Amino acid sequence: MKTGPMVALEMVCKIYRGPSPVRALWDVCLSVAEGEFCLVEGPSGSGKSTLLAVAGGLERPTAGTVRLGGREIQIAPRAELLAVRRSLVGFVFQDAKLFDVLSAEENVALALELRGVPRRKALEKSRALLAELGLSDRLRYRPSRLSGGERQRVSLARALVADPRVVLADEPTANLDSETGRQVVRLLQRLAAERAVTVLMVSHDLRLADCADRLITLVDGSVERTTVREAVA
Amino acid sequence: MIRLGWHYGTRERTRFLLTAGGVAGAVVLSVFLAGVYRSAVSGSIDYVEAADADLWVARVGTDNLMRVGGDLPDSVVEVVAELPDVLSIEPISVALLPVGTSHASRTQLVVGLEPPAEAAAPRQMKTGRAVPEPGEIVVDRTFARRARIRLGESVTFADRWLKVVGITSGTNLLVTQYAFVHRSDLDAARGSEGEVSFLLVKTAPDRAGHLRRKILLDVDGAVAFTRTGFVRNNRREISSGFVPVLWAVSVLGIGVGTLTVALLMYAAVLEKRMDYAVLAALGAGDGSRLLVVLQQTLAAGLAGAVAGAGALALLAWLLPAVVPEVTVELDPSLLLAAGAGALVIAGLGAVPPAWAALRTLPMEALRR
Repeated sequence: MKTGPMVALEMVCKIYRGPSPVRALWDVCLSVAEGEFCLVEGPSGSGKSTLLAVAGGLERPTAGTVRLGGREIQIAPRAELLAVRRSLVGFVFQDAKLFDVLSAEENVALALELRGVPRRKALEKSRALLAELGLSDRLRYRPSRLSGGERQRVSLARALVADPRVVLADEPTANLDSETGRQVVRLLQRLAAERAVTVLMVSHDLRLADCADRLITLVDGSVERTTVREAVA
Repeated sequence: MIRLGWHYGTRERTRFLLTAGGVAGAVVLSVFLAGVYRSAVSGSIDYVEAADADLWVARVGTDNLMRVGGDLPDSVVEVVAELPDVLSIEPISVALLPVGTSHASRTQLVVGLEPPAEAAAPRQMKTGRAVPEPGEIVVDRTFARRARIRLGESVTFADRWLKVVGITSGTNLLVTQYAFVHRSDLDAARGSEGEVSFLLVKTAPDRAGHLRRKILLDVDGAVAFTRTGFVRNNRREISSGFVPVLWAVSVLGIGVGTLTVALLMYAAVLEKRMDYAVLAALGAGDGSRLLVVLQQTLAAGLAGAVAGAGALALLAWLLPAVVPEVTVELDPSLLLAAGAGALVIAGLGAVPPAWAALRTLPMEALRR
């Protein structure tokens, strides 16, 4: 079911000030509907990660409006921004970025514990989701003992375990071979569809475009092109 | 409550052991000296506390056993003896003089007693007699161990040989020890006759305060102290030299411990900067990130406190065998202080890494 925009950026600019200011985003307008899977691609330095950071409330825009789940977040106080992130957003990072000192199940449970869920309950939910992702025999493994694909699946579980409405994924397939990368994205696609979760994913890999409902091409901080699924396919 | 900090602490063992070791070292440094200080204070006051005297009378200018300003005039002894409410008086003379053997010669706080010396005889005997006759000496066990002498052997005292007839405990002042001889031997050593440094006065019940006032008002050249006051003066005499050093070393210890914890934990946070950024991106507030840092420093602090307490107990057990003069008096309050010190070190040491952790931006999680 695809309804109103879950993520909306209106005329968003992000400029990193300094001796030589960097224009990371410039007049970006973007609207991602609930349940939509949106892929953002573009060359290095085109502003993809900044777009993700601004959309997820990790960075404030220099100008423009950002709405997340209908809430305007660019002027929200820090505590409110944190609350919005906790309740609405799940992140998947490049290289998974799991905590080395925690086991797979503890890594996933941490996302719930940060939201105040008791440890025991958090671990139960974590185990159930990891089992759904085919990792029931890896629950106690530390990240160093997992393959790249397994690590990224744990990362997916961490992003989804708190039932977010939006998942922001930053190059989740960057260091995976193409087949494993495709499997991870298919998995994200399936889980997101089952849960009606909106996905905004950044990737260099255009071969993943067929997984997305929409492909956005970013060049020099501006949206150059938007391609809908039929055209992508 | 998240437990990431505990995991960092326990699963990164080398850093954890180094940090805990830093805390333990600081705790040992501070508490060890406090233990030595306690031992020296005990040595200085145990004898006075145990003496069976309600009042200590001394020459004006003298207020403790370790710094005797001069002897009492003969007239004072007679006047005090005649005062109402005085049940008995016992004169002692005190001087710092060398006592030696072929192995060691040490300056001792020598107390000249007159048998039966019911008030002034040492009470904590390890072995032998407490009251020496002419030609005899009673020494502290620390000195006996250092000089390798046993009961029945002889030591030199002012060019004479005295036979050791008793060995005491609780009479070690760290830099010197008590020794007890017959008053005539002390007079001979000092080249004087019948000099009295202190009068130990036994009074009628509840008359000590009254008698003290009377001596202060009516007896020229003399001052009197109740037992409590005299104990306090002796404690102050030891403390005045010791406490500033103790404080200085404690502050230094805590400072070095704090710097060690801060440095190691700061490096740990910088090394795990990406983890803190990911935590922030996942929705960890300042409190949660602070907790992660605190858990690490507290884990190290607690381990350091336990290791430090163990090291102290070992030192207290081993040290007297190596350096007999240095005894460490440990009790639960000192061990509690060690624990509190370790927590203070952990808390203060957490400030710089916590600052670094809180300054980490969630956006950094998206950097390559």
